[in-house]
Amino acid sequence: MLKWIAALCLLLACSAAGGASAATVRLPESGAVPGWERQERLRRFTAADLYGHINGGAELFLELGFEELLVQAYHDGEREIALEIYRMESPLAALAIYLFKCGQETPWPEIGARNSSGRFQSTLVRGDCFVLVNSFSGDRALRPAMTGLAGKLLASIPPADPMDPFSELPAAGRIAGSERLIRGEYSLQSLYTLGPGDVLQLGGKLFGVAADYQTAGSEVPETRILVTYPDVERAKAVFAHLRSVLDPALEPLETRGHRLVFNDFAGRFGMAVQEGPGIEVRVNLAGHPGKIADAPVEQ
Amino acid sequence: MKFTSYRSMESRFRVSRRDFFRLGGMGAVGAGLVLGRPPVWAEEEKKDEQTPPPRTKTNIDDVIKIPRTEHSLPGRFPGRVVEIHDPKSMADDQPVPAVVQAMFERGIKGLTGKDLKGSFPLFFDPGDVVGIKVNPVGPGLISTRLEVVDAVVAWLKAGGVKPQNIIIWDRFDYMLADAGFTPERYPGLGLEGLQTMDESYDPEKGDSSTWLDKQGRHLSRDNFDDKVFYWADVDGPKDEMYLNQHVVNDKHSYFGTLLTKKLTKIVNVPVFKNTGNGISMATKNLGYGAICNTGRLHQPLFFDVCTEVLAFPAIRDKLVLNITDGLRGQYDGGPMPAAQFTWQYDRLFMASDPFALDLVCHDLLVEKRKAMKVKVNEHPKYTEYLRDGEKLGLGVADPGKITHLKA
Repeated sequence: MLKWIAALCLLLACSAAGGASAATVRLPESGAVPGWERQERLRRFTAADLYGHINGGAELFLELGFEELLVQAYHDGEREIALEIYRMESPLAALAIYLFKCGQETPWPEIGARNSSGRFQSTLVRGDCFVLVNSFSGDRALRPAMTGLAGKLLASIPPADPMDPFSELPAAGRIAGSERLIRGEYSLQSLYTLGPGDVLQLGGKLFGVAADYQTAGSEVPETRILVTYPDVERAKAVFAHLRSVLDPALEPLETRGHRLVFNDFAGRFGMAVQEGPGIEVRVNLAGHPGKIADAPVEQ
Repeated sequence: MKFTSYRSMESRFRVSRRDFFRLGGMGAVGAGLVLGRPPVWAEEEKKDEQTPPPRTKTNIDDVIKIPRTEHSLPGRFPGRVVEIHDPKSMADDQPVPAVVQAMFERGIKGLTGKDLKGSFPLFFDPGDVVGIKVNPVGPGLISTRLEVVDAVVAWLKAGGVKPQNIIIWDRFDYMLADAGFTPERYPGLGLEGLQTMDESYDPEKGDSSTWLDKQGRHLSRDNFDDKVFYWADVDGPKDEMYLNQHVVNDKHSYFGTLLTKKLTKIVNVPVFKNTGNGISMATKNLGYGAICNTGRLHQPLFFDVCTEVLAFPAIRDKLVLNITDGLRGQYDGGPMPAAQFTWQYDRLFMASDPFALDLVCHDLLVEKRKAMKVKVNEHPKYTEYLRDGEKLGLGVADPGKITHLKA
């Protein structure tokens, strides 16, 4: 029980950690990086029109806590670099979208923030901002300009307080870089389909954590998802909901108390356990997790 | 288009949990080992199966009643998909025109069994007005390559189609220009965006004259056909930013008049990329590119739009060829461009049947995602809309009926 409470406190603290406000984000001026001129047109997108910029991809941003996007282009003659600054509602929200977008991280050390970078694009996170630095030509010679513009921008974004939202996930066997934060239907669907809609009832408000684990004898890693709800009753209600709307492609095999074992569309196994205020889901299990005992009486 | 009733595909296509396993989606593993299920839970489950969540209603049932033509989807070659690979197709991130042209010719021959000249009359008449639908999102990185379009244009011209009757189009005019589809690059050809949008519009400054006329209508409103629309029982948001981007914000998504009144044939040239766990290729390039007011459709219908919009005669009876540009692909982060997930793929894919084409490409993209250790959710729902397309007679989405050729 204590671990669930600790997890909840940690996520609440991370959610509330301070970051930049719209007023504090300053776009680099012309000449801030020698030769690069800021273009007149600044595009601004809110939650209402984010589709205008990422048609078909906005849902994940909105669910994770998108507030505002600024898109600003810079030119040096024919060469162009564009900054996209996604201001999220908290540093945790910014980290959440970064983890979905960064891929296998290949950081450029000269960028003073967590980043994954290549010649076409730098993806970085600082404070409550998720930032893309786009170089449309992919010209390797533009790396100093990309990092220069990123550096000027980052100077106006306060860093977040240190946080490790994944500390409650087991460290043993965890695949580095597989960590994700989920907060509703779209972020969960990127990992697994347990049922329709926001089946874990995160509501775009409550973060859950997830990561992959290497398992012996299986090419497909196991995925663990952990959500800590505000109280036991809420967790019990969500677990009951999960059972009642379990996806048609999942065949329930066994249930005892607050535990559920199922078989999925690919022939792999999964299980969900509600314990205290937490629900833990494990999917892509190569074998049946075994006969499960009655849930503990700690309710 | 008039419609009288709004029954959704729900009743025809929804598969219950029990049906899913009975239909063989699981094979032997779905043999129904249910142990110790509590009675209360069983009742909940039964209740749930009896009352599936309602699907947003659309006017698809009225559309599918419209008689088909000889050119209706899935076109000349149902279920036939040709993959063309040449490792020399790109040099220094740029397509090599001569190699791309040769790939195009191999692809057409693989699809039809004839050379370019012999294939032309299978799809076109010299008098046709041909629209080439490109995907300009992510210019330079993952947008439709000009060199692929060049090959199509050269083929059409050689077949006798007048340059002014070849129209490169997309939904948004400014995106076309950003991606290099300009009058300077394509002199004499038509270049049309179905709509404009003021990207820099700021509601706080209040000057909407760049996209709204004095009567309060979007400047592009007349570019959409009042009589041909995809109706779905969901409203668009009532704010100006949405209207700026989507032209109207009620329950109608009107087709561009370019499609309903001007074009007689369509060549669809999407790019090879993902959108979440699914793909954003042939069916989505038209499903979300041919109509306005699409923002409202994402949440309730998403991939279903890719099937249902293609069922309208404005596309169903005019779309003759699909060429998925896989010279560079994007396996994650899509549909927005994400350079870290792109790779040089050196491939084109061709088909008259966009559903077979998308299924083949979906499977190839899943393979790539696995190879790159990207999280893959292979739930069947991400290809269900393709199977729905087969049920509507628009294409083939049964792997056993698809012929995947490598030219």
